[in-house]
Amino acid sequence: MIESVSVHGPSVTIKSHHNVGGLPDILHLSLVEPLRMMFKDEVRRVGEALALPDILIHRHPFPGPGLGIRILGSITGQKVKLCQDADAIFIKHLKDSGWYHKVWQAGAILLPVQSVGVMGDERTYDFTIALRCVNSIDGMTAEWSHLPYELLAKISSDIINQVKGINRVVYDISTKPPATIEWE
Amino acid sequence: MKDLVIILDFGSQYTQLIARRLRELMVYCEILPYNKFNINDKHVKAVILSGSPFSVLDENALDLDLSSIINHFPVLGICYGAQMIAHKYHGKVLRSEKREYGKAMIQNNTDDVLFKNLPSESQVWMSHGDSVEHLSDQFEIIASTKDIPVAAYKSVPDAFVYPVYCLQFHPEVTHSIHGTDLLSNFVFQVAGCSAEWTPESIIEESVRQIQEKVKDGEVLMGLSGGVDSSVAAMLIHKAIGNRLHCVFVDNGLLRKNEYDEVLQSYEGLGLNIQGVKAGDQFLEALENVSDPEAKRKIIGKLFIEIFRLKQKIFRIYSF
Repeated sequence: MIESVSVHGPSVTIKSHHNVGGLPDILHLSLVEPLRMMFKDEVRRVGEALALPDILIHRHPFPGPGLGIRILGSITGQKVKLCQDADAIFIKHLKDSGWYHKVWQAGAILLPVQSVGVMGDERTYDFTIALRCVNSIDGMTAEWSHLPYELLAKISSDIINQVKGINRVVYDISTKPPATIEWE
Repeated sequence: MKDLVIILDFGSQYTQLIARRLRELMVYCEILPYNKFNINDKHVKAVILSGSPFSVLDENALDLDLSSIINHFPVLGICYGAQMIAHKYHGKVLRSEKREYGKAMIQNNTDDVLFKNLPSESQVWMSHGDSVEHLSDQFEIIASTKDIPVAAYKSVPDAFVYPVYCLQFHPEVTHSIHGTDLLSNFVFQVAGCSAEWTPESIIEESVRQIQEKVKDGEVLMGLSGGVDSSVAAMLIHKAIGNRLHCVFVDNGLLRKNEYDEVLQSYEGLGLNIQGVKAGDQFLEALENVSDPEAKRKIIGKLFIEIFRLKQKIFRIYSF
């Protein structure tokens, strides 16, 4: 809400905010929004004061539409599986290497791009995964995380070797602004 | 209710940062569109006017009747806000040939309370096209840079009921090395705010507001497993207990194994949670849809449909 608070003022909204759609009238409900005026880091401090488990407080932000906006273009069950498997490998490596808690948000994006590769003696024509990993204080501006090359190399090779249907991994090195954290 | 500082937004890219800086000082503030301010809010202790991409000299410049705030609250004008105050109170604002953008050094040779604990020279961040050429005798200059004689000014004693401070530069940007100190001096020394926006006071205030709003009603809530919905659920639960009904939907677009992991991590928190597996429903509705906004809308609409169903089951109606 903080991010889209200027909706009625002169600042322009970039895209409809994931959680702030308002409620449709058909529900005949009123809205309770206890976090309406809090920044993300304030929400975390409140969570700590409420003694929420660490795993909930320090979970990376994840968009409401979920992988629906991390699978670019049309969605199929098979693409969801590709994106989930690649994402799980990425996140596991971040956790194992201690990077998970040093970054604001990370995830795998499945691009609607197929390209040629060679696996063993076989020619492949498979999808591409973009890794997105950013540092930020509040999500309003973000810097791409400078993950070590060795870590990126391991993530890339594990994804390509273990996720059948992916033959190429790229790393997103764009800041917000002008890019956004999510791709859609 | 805590002391409140209102930030009126004229569209500056930095408006959010003003709010951030004040919250870091543990002062509660809200950003409002420049034309949506209700002067009768009893908790308002000060008003800050933001910068803007507009020029006060533009015909379509965003206009605010300053008499609705000056004389009612201590006011801090930043960049456009400052220029507007100078312009409306008989000073002269000039369009500069070129935009001043970047770091500059200000000199302050006064013992004004705004500069309390600041060195006499400090780096600030400038980002403006217009400059203030001169001020009416209701104002005095309190800081200058090499290029800008009128870098900061304030109302002279007795010009207005409450002091008016104006800064040509942006104290909210971290490149203004002592910017937070300036804002701190404004809210604490000039406006007399208290630093009371702590996690404990946020909880207390939220619980009170939720109870006031919900009364003896029921609340239906969608959980995502993220920190926002978890904290919101805990606050509402603290306020109304088991009258909070949480729904966690597996839309088939969660991370691998996330549905089970999330439900597990909520165990032991005392929340009423019902999981709904609806992956097939979502995937079917999304078939062959590739436009991002269309996907968002379809997903949002299905969530609402599931909520509607749960609303009937829990018999939750409007309160």
